[in-house]
Amino acid sequence: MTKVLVVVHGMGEHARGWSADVVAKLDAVAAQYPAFKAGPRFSKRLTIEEIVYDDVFANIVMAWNRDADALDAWSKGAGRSLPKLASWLHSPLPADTKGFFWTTAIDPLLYRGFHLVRDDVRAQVTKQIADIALRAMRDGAAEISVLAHSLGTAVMHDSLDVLGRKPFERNEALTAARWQFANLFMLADVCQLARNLVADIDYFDSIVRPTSAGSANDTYCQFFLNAWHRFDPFVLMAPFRPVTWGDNYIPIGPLEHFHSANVHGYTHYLDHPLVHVPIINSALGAPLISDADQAKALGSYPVTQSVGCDAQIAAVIQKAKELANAADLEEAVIGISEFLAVAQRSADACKELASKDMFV
Amino acid sequence: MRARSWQARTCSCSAALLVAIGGSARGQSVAFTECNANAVGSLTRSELGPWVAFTPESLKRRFEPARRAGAWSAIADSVAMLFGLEARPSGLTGTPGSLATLPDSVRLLLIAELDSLRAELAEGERDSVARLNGRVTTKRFAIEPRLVAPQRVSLFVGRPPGPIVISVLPDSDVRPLCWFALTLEDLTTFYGASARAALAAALAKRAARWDNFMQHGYSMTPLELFVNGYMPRRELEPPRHQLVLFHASAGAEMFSDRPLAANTLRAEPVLVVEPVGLLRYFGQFKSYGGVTWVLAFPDSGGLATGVMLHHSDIGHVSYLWRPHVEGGASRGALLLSMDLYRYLAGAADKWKQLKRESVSQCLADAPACVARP
Repeated sequence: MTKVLVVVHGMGEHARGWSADVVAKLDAVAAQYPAFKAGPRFSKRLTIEEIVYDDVFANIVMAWNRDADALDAWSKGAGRSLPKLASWLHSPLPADTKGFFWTTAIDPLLYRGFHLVRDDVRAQVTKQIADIALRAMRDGAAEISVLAHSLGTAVMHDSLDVLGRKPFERNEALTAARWQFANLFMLADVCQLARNLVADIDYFDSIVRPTSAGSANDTYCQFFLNAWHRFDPFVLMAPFRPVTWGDNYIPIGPLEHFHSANVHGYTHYLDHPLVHVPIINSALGAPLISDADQAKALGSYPVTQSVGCDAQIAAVIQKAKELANAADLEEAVIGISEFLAVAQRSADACKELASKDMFV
Repeated sequence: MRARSWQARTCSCSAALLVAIGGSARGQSVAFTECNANAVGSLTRSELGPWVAFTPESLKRRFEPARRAGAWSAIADSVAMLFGLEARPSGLTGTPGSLATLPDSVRLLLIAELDSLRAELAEGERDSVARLNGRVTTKRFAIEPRLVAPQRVSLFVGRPPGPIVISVLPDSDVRPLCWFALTLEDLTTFYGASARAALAAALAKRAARWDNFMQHGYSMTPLELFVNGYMPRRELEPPRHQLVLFHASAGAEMFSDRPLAANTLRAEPVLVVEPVGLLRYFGQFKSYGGVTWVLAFPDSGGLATGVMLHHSDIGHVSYLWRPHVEGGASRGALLLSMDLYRYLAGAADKWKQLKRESVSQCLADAPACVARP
């Protein structure tokens, strides 16, 4: 049976092939366990597929030519003022902070603030999922799992809901009543971000839930894993914590490790044994990493490896707490840019907190 | 659905099934192996023994001709007989272990779900549209391996009066049940292939419509991108009508001080503001046309206002009225996009060339030219 892991990116620049760092991380963390000491590495034991939707944002941003005035003009014309954002963009900011705005933080603004952008993304992603399902089930049944991070979690909540909620042009092939994903692994689930701007979905009651949350007819995955970090500002800002989804909902958190200045990073989440062990086992559909192996890995997993980086860690935590109090999408977008810039500066000052894939 | 009517008669069995949850670690281990198609696929012939002809992979190959013939419900019947869920005709060799030995509650649940599956397959055999629309529950026989504590392997989760917890069944029952489920899941997956292909094609067309609209449509400022999100449209489709609002653009355009004097057109930097307008997209959103109110600010002369006609294939043209020019009298003007100008200029050149060729042919052979009808 074909087993597929679909990896979905979050905010930021992601071209085709972006998943190489994530796959390398999964291979690396799996390799520490006895089941992977011999035989193929993790990514060779299943099919990896990646979803890309960043080109929707990139095309728009390119068209606007990264011009802060465009947003300013929009806010004035629309009567939906973004004075904080406009004035923030016009203020003398460090280059890295502005850079993070145009490459990363603008993505949730476009996705949540503009219906056309959200629908375009959903149309592109549902198309990619249907293609993946078609390929995966060419030779019979397949188990398809999804691993999504950050903004990608919101995108997947939205896209899977429209794909599975009702037939498309009378076609029921991938509706929740007919078909299901094996696992949805959500890292730093931000589906609740700017929730007030999204009227067409209730994330606690959509079909994007595990079987134990409803019946086979109205749920879209067997298991739903939700991992979050205590100091991840994005999940602090918009926590998503279902409490009535039954035991196929697997919450993992709060995590407290600090192995990278960007605690929100994709690979930083995957680094933790509490996160990667259930992902590896469930994606492969077999208990390859035993409870004992996981316990051993957890026993030797330090909260932080960064000796002498206390000031930098404190700065990141401080900025995360500030961002957690963002009142609206506008403040959140500013905060995201500032948080990522603080993380970058912390990593620059303290090499133990840096990694080449920290902003994946 | 037959499963539903059956549920009403035997609704007490689910409690009996659930009581058994929490079986031995060995039972879990057997279930995780036997219910994992890849683990089963790695068993050697000697490990399989008399089961070799009944692995999910073997049965997939065995029933390929029947699948090609479209005998879907007949395959389901055969699988049920092979695994002993239904009486076998004499001469048919079934699996070494049989589903007939399962507890009644489990067996009846399997029969009910199998009946529901057969009804779906039969519908598709009668009506090909039903199959093309994916009216089969592919996940009906999907096994659920729970890899986190408490570990267990189940079937029919969320399908009352299920589930069947496979990992608490005796080892001898696990293989026939898992392989039966895996075989039927393959069957439903193959049956649904044409529907998935049709769905992928339909979703690709929708994605292409978005690409056409967002990347090749009339560009939108942030304000327009926001406002057009509220234009009436079908769910998850781009809007057929695009509102143009305070759309500013600057660049070289062909401009003439006189409205009907194409020979005075000259390239000139012009700032164009379209305060309001409406465009309509055609077909698959590859082309659009529409009209906008325009304010133009050419380098030479003052403000001009007018109406602009758009067409995605050839550009735009506008008739402008200039209220204040030298001498005090208002005067018309013409504005063409560069692409439309090139289109028109190209058409004129082509016409001139054809005329030149025709005249020279006549001069070369005047009698033939005159005689030509």
